[in-house]
Amino acid sequence: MVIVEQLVKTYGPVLAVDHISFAVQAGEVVGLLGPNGAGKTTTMRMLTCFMPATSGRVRVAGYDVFTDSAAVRRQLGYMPENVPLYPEMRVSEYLRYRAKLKGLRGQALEERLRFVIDACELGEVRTRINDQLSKGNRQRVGLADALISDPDLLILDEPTIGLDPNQVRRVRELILELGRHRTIILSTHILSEVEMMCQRVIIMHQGRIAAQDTMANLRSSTKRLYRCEVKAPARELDLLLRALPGATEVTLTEQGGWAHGTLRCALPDTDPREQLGAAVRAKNWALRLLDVHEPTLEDAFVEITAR
Amino acid sequence: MRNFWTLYKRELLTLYLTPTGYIVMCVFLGVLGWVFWLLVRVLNLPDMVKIDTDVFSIMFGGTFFYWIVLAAISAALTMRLFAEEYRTGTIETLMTAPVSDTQVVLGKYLAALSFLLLMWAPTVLYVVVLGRYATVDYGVVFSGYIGTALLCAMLTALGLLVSSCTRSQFVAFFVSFVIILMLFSLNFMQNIVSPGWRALYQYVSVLEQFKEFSAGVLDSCSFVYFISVTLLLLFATVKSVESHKWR
Repeated sequence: MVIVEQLVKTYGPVLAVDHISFAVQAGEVVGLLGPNGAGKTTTMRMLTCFMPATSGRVRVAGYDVFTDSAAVRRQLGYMPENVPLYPEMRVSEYLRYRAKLKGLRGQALEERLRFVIDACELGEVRTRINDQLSKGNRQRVGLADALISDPDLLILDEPTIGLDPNQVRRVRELILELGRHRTIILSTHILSEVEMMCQRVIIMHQGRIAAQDTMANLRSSTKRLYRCEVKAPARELDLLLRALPGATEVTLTEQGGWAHGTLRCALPDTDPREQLGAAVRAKNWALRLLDVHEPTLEDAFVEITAR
Repeated sequence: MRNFWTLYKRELLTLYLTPTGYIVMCVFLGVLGWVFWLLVRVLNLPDMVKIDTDVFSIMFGGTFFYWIVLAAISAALTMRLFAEEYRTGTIETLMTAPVSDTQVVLGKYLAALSFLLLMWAPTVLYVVVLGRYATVDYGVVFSGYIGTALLCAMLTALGLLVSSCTRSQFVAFFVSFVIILMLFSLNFMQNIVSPGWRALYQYVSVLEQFKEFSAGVLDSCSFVYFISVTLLLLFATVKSVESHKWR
């Protein structure tokens, strides 16, 4: 559905997007993650034909965004960051206008309008003026606008930012529902959201793609964190932990005669707990805690973007 | 074409939904009514009656008010068109819809121009009122309206171009207002330049080109002038909108 090849965008001397390449298959829900200023919004703007790339190529549904921009724009629904709306228009008036711009007319327009107002729960505010909408309602009007032409590809820039937890949940459910029949690329800062909605994530950092993989692979390639509490001299335990295969980031604290040790294991398939248990037993130390913390997407994100 | 109509209708609706449109309309009709009343009174003074002057040949381009008001209202009506889209970011949703830059520019342009021309509609009443009490040279009235329409077309295009270059309505207003006044002042330049250049200044001077219309003459040369400048400005606006993407 979307093929990005060696995409570059510079703003004057600033390199905002640096030779990124990725592909999104039809029907996939992909999360675009990254710290602020990583180039997510710039990338989305290039995908939606709002900005041309400095170099590189983007193809959406077989059309080039630069040479077949109109054809690409007919395929997609885009919800920009902060959802800009015309302040003087009413909600239904605005959506009708957007539908017409996207080529809908007559019966088809009325049906889609009814559907998006229903799906985005805008029934109560349909006669309100855009300027007087709450943040949550603005967000939903933006989503309704992106959906109105029933596009195959949805590009959503931070769709749940500024919503309260109930609204976040409803928008998330809506996106999950939509994602069954559509390709969705969404950017967000909220990692738990990505874990719930996306099959795959692309993590951007300083204009480059730092990682792109499925959620499970990303987690399994992240170092696990092991913790232990042993009644032993801290220095000796430290030496023992460091000697374990693949051990990195060993930390030790001591409290009431108990040494609290943590370590990360750089070898994804190795679990050092058995070896550690055996070593502790051999020394005749008391062991009261030995566990593993499975990495979350947040751990993966921090590990990748802190490099 | 259908996109053009959608864009055109939205722009026109916005002009009628926001206070700017009404303020401009009130100022415009207030000033024009005042000028009309003043002219009728002055031309009826005993000393003036002997001079055979038509009210409308003065009203169209013959007073300082006409030019200032036109400069101000065209700048005020066009200032919002692109500047506001850039400031609020709605340009992003607009340009990612399947519309072309030319459709957007023409939609906005013709909406502002329609509003501006519709504002002149009530002034037809002046002609009707005066026609009941005096003889009116309808030829002058007709050419005056044609000339004004052409002038409005040009000034609206200029205001639109300026609006497409900034994110601030305020800047857009003042820059277009000043450029329009400079354009009007070209007329005085012909007095200071060498005779060789005079013909050029005479041709590019808006006031000079407009004289024919207020005299009741429809000169094809003036038509070519106003229409070609308008098209050039619109072309520049399309390019300016395109260039925003590259920044």
